[in-house]
Amino acid sequence: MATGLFARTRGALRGAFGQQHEEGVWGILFILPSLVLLLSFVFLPAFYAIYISLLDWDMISPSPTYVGLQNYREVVSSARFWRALGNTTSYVAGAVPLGVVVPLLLAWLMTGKRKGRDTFRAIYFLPTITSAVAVALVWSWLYQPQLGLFNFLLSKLGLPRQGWLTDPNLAMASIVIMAVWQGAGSTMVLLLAGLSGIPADYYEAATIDGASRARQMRHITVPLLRPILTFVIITGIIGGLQVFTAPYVLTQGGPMGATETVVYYIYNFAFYYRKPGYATAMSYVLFAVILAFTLLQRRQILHFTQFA
Amino acid sequence: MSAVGKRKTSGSWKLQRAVLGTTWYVVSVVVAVLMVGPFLWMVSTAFSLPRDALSYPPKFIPSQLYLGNFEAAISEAPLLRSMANSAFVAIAVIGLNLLVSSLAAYAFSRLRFPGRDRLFVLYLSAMMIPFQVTLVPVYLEVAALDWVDSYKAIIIPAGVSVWNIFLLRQFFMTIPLDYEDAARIDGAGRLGFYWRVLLPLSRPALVTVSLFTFMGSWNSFLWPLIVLSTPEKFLVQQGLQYWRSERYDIVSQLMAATTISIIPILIVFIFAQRNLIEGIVLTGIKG
Repeated sequence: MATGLFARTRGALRGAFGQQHEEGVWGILFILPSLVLLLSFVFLPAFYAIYISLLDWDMISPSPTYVGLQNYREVVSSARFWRALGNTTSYVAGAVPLGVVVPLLLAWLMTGKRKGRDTFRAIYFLPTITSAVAVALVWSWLYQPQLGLFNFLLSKLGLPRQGWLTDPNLAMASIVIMAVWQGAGSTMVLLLAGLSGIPADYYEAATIDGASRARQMRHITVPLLRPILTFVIITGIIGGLQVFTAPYVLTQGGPMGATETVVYYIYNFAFYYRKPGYATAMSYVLFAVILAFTLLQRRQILHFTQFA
Repeated sequence: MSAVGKRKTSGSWKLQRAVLGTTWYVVSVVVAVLMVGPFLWMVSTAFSLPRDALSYPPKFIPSQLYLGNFEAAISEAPLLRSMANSAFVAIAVIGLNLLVSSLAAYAFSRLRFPGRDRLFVLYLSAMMIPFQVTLVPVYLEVAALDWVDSYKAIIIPAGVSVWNIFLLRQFFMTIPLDYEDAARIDGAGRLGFYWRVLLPLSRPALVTVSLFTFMGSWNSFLWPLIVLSTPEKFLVQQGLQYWRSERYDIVSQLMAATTISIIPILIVFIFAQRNLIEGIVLTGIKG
């Protein structure tokens, strides 16, 4: 056992620094691995990226040219960038509201004691744990215009068949539907936890006062769920602004750039066109957008952490 | 509050309850079908003959359970190999991450040292830096370290997760401080306490964190895509996408490969489902 060694180290440290400081030394020691990793792979790269964004470089040549803010100017004046930002915003505008309302309804369905409720809950959770790639592959088959299940069902119902992922007007919406489907389970679980925190007496009192279920939902449920709803909405927006895998696997940014999101665009520019300066400049512009929402979130995070 | 208004004849009350209950079941089942439907369709296609899968109108239930797609997926795609790769990487990441995160969480939650609180805020701020900002520079770092096309580039950066540190810290804070004094009286130091008291007591939290870390690693796509270039080294998601680009028209084989790739996660899910769901609650609500 290594106890002997540690006991001796401990004794030595106590002798050198005193009892109180010994605690401090261990604290710093335990922090060290995570701190080194964070500095190396998060903070340092973030600053390095700022430097790269000021260069005109192909990632290979040893002497890149310094071009100052030119990359940023090019990004902001690029029509393709604005289109990507527009696509990403469409995605967020669709996925976030639906991603709140649908799970809310599911959670409402799953409240209360019912036999088999836990099984249903687990089933609804299944899409969430599946990888984005697997989900995308399955849904691309579902969306297949000629042979896919969705168009078959539509035609059975007498409705017109759709191009889905091949239709520039519908492609992003198709991705949104898939994303809402996949995310519903985990959001539902979060909301369920929140719902269970609302005392039943509130509803009882409201029922006695004659309030309908709908009114109860509006005046009791939604206000008391506000913190969780805010959390879900803001994390949804932040995540949505960074969407990559779905457009990459499903449509490669098509058709005709209708699903090219900002991160997909950044990826292409960094690793295909080999223009990391431009790509990192773009990533910082996106970061600025995300930061605005993150600052909104900060109040939530500060509220969550408790300092001993 | 009197019970008078609520009294109804037992007959009509039971009927109303029965109707509501049945409606609930019907609705819940419909939703369940919507949730699981795509997967059922995937499995149905996976067991179909390739040409049957492409038939229109589509056959919901294949006329026979054809295993050829699965055979093809295993023999012609590096599917099993990629799953083995992913398993290796996932286990390594869990090991490293749990160690690093739990040590940091221990320090942040129970040890006092100068600058602790400010350092914690710094850690939290790391979560706000979106991954696309660090994508290129980390790749360059990894290239400089000659880790490109190696699992080191995936495992080592994944060793730190502020989210895990945050979660474990919340949990560690619920363990009374006296335990450390008791341990000290018994002759254990900080590390002894950590290893023999704190960790065993935290098993539920550690299991939850491991599950989520496993899921994150198994399902990861973008970073392995950037870092790995040898097909034999591909991880499962990347391998799936790579193979799909070569086998675009053989849908039944693609669906078979996808089905196989989901099985490990499914197994984990079935065994740990309660834990996973409770874990989600832990992340979203104050611990």
